[in-house]
Amino acid sequence: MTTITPQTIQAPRHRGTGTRATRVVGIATIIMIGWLAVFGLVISPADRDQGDSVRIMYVHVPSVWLAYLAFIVTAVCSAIHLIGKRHSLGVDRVAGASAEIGVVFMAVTLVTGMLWGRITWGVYWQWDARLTTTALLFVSYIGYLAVRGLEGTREQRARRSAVIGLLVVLEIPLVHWSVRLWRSLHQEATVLGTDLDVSLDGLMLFSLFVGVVAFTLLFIWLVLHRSRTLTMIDLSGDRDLDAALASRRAEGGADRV
Amino acid sequence: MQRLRLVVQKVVQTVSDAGFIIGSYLITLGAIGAFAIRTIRLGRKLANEVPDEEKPWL
Repeated sequence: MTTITPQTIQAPRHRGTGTRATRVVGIATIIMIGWLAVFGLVISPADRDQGDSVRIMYVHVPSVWLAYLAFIVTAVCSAIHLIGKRHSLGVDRVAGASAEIGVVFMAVTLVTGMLWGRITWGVYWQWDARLTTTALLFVSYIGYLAVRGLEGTREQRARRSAVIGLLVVLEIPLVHWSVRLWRSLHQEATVLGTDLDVSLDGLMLFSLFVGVVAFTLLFIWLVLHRSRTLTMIDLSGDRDLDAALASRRAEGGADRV
Repeated sequence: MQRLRLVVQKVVQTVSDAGFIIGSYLITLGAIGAFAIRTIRLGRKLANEVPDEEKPWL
């Protein structure tokens, strides 16, 4: 028989945002990021024209693709929220989580692009079409996140941000095609260009593939955790509001007595 | 002397490029890692305020 002492009584430990699935994805992500570092920095050869600076591409290109993916997920969730009969707030939270992650990936894209530009062009920044439209896309999603933080009910937040999420995603084709629409310093697409011809060495292409897989797993892991955290922020807010209302009712009841 | 200067220039250039290349990896992993850690810590903090039965993923 176990004797219950004050030392054995502990407050119940609540479970966070992690599940078995997130742990599996998390471990796979760490392994793939390790592979990315090995392939990108050691195994992959230097480029004939760019030299070793091509190694920056293995983080720069996957980060911009994942930023695009994150913003497209935000747009799709926004559309589902607006069109769906239930106007689900869960879908809205996934949209918000995905936009936050997209902004982080886009910031990484801009910084790694600047470092690559310093080596290749000799300058960190040029007001070139691709760079300027990318910066505009980044600022637009900062605005989207700012709108999500405005006062109002959760339904108002979801509706407002869904409309903006559907509008700002239209900038992505502009960013992608900017190198063709205007004269640009930035190179055109090496992978998945208009002719779908891949002009990359096998090992370089594989390193890029490892980067894309690693960042995609990272994105899935982050979306799961971040959307669950946003759910708990809302639930915690509800509990605080309920407690405040109960307290006011109790005060009102005491005044009447 | 000229040859030595060229060698020094080459080494400085290589190290400088290596700094940018390794820096780009560190910035990438650092920024995303910081965001991930912040999310997990906030999740753990909020987990104690919300009962498990209200968490749809459990």
